[in-house]
Amino acid sequence: MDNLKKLLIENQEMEARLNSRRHFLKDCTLGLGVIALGSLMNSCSFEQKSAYDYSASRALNPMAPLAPPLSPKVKSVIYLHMVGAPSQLELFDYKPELAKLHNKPCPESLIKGKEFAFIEGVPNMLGPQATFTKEGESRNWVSNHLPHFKNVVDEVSFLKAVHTDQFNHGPAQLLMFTGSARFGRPSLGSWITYGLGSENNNLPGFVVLTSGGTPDAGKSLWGNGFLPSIYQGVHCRSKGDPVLYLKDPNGVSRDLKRKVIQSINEINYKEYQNFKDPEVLTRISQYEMAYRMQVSVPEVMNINDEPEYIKEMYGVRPDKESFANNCLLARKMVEKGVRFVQLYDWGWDSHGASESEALSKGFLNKCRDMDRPVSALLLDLKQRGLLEETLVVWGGEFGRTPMWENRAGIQNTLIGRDHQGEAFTMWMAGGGVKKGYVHGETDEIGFRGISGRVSVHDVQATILHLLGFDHEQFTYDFQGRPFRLTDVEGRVIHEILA
Amino acid sequence: MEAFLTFIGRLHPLIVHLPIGFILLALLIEFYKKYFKESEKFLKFILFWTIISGFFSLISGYLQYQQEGYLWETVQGHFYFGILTLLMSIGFYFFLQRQVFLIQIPRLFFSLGLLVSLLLTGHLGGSVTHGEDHLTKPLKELSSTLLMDESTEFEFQLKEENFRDQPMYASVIAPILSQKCISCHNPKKTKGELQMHTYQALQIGGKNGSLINYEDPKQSELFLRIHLPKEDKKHMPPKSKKQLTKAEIKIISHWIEIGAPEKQTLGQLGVERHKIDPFIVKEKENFYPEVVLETPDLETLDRLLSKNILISPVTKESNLLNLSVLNYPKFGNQQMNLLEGIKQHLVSIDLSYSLVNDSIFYRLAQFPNLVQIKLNHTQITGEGISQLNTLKHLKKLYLVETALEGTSLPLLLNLPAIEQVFVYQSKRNLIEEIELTPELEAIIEIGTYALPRLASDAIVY
Repeated sequence: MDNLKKLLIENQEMEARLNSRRHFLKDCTLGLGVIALGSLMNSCSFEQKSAYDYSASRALNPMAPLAPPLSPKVKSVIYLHMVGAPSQLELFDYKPELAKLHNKPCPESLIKGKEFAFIEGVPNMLGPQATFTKEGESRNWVSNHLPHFKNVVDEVSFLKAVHTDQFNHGPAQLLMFTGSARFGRPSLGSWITYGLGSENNNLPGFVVLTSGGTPDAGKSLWGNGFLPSIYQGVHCRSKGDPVLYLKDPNGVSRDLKRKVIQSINEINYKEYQNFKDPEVLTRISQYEMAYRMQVSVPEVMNINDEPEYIKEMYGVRPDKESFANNCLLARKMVEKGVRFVQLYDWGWDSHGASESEALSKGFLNKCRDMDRPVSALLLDLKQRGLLEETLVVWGGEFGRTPMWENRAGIQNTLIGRDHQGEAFTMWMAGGGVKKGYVHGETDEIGFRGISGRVSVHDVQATILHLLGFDHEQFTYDFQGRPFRLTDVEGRVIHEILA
Repeated sequence: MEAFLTFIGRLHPLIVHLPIGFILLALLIEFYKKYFKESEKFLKFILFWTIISGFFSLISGYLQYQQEGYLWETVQGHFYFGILTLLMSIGFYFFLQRQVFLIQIPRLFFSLGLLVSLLLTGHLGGSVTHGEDHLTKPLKELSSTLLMDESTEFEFQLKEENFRDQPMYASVIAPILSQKCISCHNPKKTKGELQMHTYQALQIGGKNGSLINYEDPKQSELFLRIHLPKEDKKHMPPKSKKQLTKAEIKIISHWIEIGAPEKQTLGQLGVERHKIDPFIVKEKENFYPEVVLETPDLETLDRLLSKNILISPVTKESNLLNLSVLNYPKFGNQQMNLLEGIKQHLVSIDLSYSLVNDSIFYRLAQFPNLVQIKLNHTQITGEGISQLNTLKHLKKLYLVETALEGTSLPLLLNLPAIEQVFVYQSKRNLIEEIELTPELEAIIEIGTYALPRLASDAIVY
């Protein structure tokens, strides 16, 4: 203890010695001279003037827009996901050879060692349940189930040999939207809003619209994972109140609400200054966002003011929940600066186990309800100059087998196909993507990709690339290591880039 | 008289060397003064002439600055240090004369000060006559040769259009080797007795024989070495040197696997597009004008951000800016004054949903680097749109859902760089008035698409 005291006293003495008048005159005059010289030599400096820090505003507003690191081709994304996995063999992937094999047993070599969700034993092959024609200037195949899509086929780039390693809906959807078949990773839209923020202060940056039902993997598909929760998707209902509990309760005026929120936020901000927890910031901005959204969301979600012929083009059904309404809403939101609009349309799981799941019935209804709105969306974006800065992605979580499903070994009475991850079709349209192009090819029966195979991670890498990110550099540190959307995989599909 | 002054001015480079010589001599004597008996006397004599010649140098230098049109910014440093040098010599002279007020200053102050100010004056003078980087340029060249950066002959020149016709070795493999291997394996420096600067040299190989094994390609020395773990002694390039990238390893391996051909083209060999994508030189798109700009005015940016006006650079680190008033719908023509500080920097401006009217065109014409203008959902009718003709980079104009009149459309053809104009109106008042000429049709997107009603639309299965 004495030693310690001694040391402390020595230290004090040393400090006192350093603070003497003599020390100041002796050492500091030289220092002052150096400082003066430094400013004199300023013109010799090679350093650039410090750049403006555009990201500084993120401290108060986590959604403040940021410029991407590379030059972006698009500003927004509309992702149309057909939940349940639509059959590529009835829509875009024309396989005349398959027709010849119709109702003949599948060669065993083809399915040996393969796992299917429902097929057991040896199923029969199932020929295409559609007629195909070459459409547009690009002469690309489109089936008769999509008569309106023929008008826009020249706008899109097909990926005909996408593959996934998941053959059940939930994990396959998670893989498609979070890059991992397990729970816990941030979704595509969350990554994008985390990286780019959102332009419109009064609307959420990441909007989710569903029709037909909730996707199998649930709300994790638009979850924020380990990113701050401000970046999770906001699920807007297209029927009734768009966002639940947004309306003021009876007897509460908007002014009163403003004051309440202000006080709460001030308290929260003190909390944030003490503990620096980003979730507090999230809460503050969510209160403010909710207040602003009270006015702006009903406005943007109102499709009644659109001209009649636009409503007709999309085929909207006022006051009902429909995919067509959602497509029109997606256009309105992108026009207002929403970064990422995710549409889920449920009901494409055409096993043939029931009428609504049959390729001869329920599937045709789904096609009819999807064909017109999607085509209208592309045309409407185009005429407003929005298609050039928006990326439209269409796809399912996997594809369907060229075999007729035989649940429990007995061929289904209605026509249907089982899940298939080996090869399925997706398409992209919009800024930076080739028009009227096909990448990838499947074998004669559409069972496997034989050229231009791309993985789910490749699709994600391409989406990030078009928004101005290098998917390998775009990371978030969590649990001691940097994470990225594409994990350790993914290759940008340069072939479809314009 | 003018000509005479110019003449005196031009004598400056000659005259300055007199005081330089004197000062150096004085300093030499000063530092070796113990060897001289009467050094003080010498010094005083030399310093006297230093002052005289220095005075003339100053005058001639000032005349040269005035007569020969130098910028004050470029010469001011040289000028001030010149004066400082003269003052130091005078000071030193009077110090030696034992002037009372100077005697307390240490002698070293004068001698060292004189040396420093002389060096600085000389350097700044040299920079004025020969240019800023005159002195450092040879150093840079020297350093780049020392680092063996001689890859100029093999550069990636693959283009999107013609990469299939290029020989694989010369267009892909050789440039990689020349960047990552040749610095140690060339005729001058031949580590492991190996040279790699030509195809033949690879065949000859080094201490361990040929680099390429045509019988069993995967046993090729080159193939094995690049696949060894980095810690392995035989791994190439050595751990301390710049490594091959994954894509480079892949393409070299592929090349060896297909038999390391010399002359065959990428097309003949059927090399897949994605394998060579990293080596294709992408033509730079010049969507934005190529202008070099200072950092934008920070105060202006702060002010705009505080008003909820969105400002973002086109990419990180760029000085070209996008602006949007999406969150400031009360933005009107007057608010354009806020943008004074970033006139040169704005390349894209989005005034959609704002209160601007036709006089905005006069304002916009003052932003010379605009490439893209959006005036969607505003009250503009198109009157005065010809003002934009001065914008020589303007490529895209968005006038969707405005009150644009059909008569304004032909004027759009006068915009010098215009590529696309979007004029869609959902109420269709414009379109009915106007017939489009083919020239207009090429740039105008008028919209009004429709999907016909089909019988199948109504079928419920």
